[in-house]
Amino acid sequence: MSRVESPSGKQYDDHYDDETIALLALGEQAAGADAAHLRKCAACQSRVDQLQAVVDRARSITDEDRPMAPPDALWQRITDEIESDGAVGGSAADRANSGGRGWMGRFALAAAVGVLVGSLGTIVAMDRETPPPTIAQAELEPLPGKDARGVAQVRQTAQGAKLVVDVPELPATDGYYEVWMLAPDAESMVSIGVLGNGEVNEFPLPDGMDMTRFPVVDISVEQFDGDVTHSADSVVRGELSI
Amino acid sequence: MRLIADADIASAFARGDDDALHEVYTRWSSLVYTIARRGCGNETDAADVTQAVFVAAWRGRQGFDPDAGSLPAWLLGITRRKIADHWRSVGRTPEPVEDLPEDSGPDAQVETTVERVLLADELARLGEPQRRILELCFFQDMTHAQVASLLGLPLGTVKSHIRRSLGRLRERLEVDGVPR
Repeated sequence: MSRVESPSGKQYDDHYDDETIALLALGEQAAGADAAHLRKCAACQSRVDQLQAVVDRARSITDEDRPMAPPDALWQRITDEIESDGAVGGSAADRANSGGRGWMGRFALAAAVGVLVGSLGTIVAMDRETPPPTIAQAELEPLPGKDARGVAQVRQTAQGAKLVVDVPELPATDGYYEVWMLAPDAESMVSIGVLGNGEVNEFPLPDGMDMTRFPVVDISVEQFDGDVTHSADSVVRGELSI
Repeated sequence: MRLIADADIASAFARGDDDALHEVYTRWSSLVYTIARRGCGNETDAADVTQAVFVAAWRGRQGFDPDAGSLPAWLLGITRRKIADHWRSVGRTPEPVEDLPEDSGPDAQVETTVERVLLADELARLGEPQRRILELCFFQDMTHAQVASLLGLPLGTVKSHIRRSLGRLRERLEVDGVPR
């Protein structure tokens, strides 16, 4: 066992810093004044004990405890059992609006997404170290005569800010959907990008993008007419709140 | 990053979005199944318990309150009950878990299993070199100085990884391991 050095060469009565607590919880030995401190400081001893309980449990992990996926056929058994209930998921109206896709069709889509998420698992796991915080969010409400709705979030990632747009049930269109960020008076705007086919789309936001100047997230239907300006045919819209 | 946060999946699930059920299954079925396999002692019963957990979760989704705790914590609550149901239905008691006193009740055994599987899962989610550092400390009984020397990393870096990684393990138990 090596000795735990306290980084600050500190005074006798200082409490331990978090790193020292962690090393003590792992069973490394405190030296000199640190050892004396541990004997007389109930607060530090309690912090060590709590973390040590986690360490002890972790040390008892066996290979059998490592998460393992259930058999492939199990998902089908679950959906079969649930389907026997009859109605699954939202109201009949919700299903009628889902563009003719039955709920099993939606499952097939979800399954494809699941495979993608699975294959990205490693990358996802690495990125969990610093989960990207949501710094602003907007509820996207339908404009008059429309009925889609969704959510937009601005997330701060290691690669910069991103706008994540989730509008689950956009109707089919001859043209395409474009995402914008508008000034509150909708007179000026920035084009963020073209919405892909997936339900959730993610767009990098340029470093200089000022959310306070263009706080309104808007999705419009655009035609393939070569006109780069907003069609004025918006489907959903909502203001980011930070 | 995941395009959809765990909390967003949990909200969609609570609303009854059937796509969300598949995503919930994709993210958390391994946890449920592994705990069930440890809790039941074999794969056939574990598959039955896992099926029962997700069917019950779907049917009872209105009982899930996202403000009261995490979705995995809620799923693992159902898992504990389904494992207990399994042992009641076969009219036996589970085999004791290693390292626990023989007089520990079945509940303590399941709690130990839940904690081990959650910790193993969180360890697997640590990036490198954090995961390797902790595994050397935990399973090879190496000191932070030995780990630093083996991996060629500065002592301060190793200490800082240890502190943050242990914090994550503790937090995972606090968030997902509390019976609900």
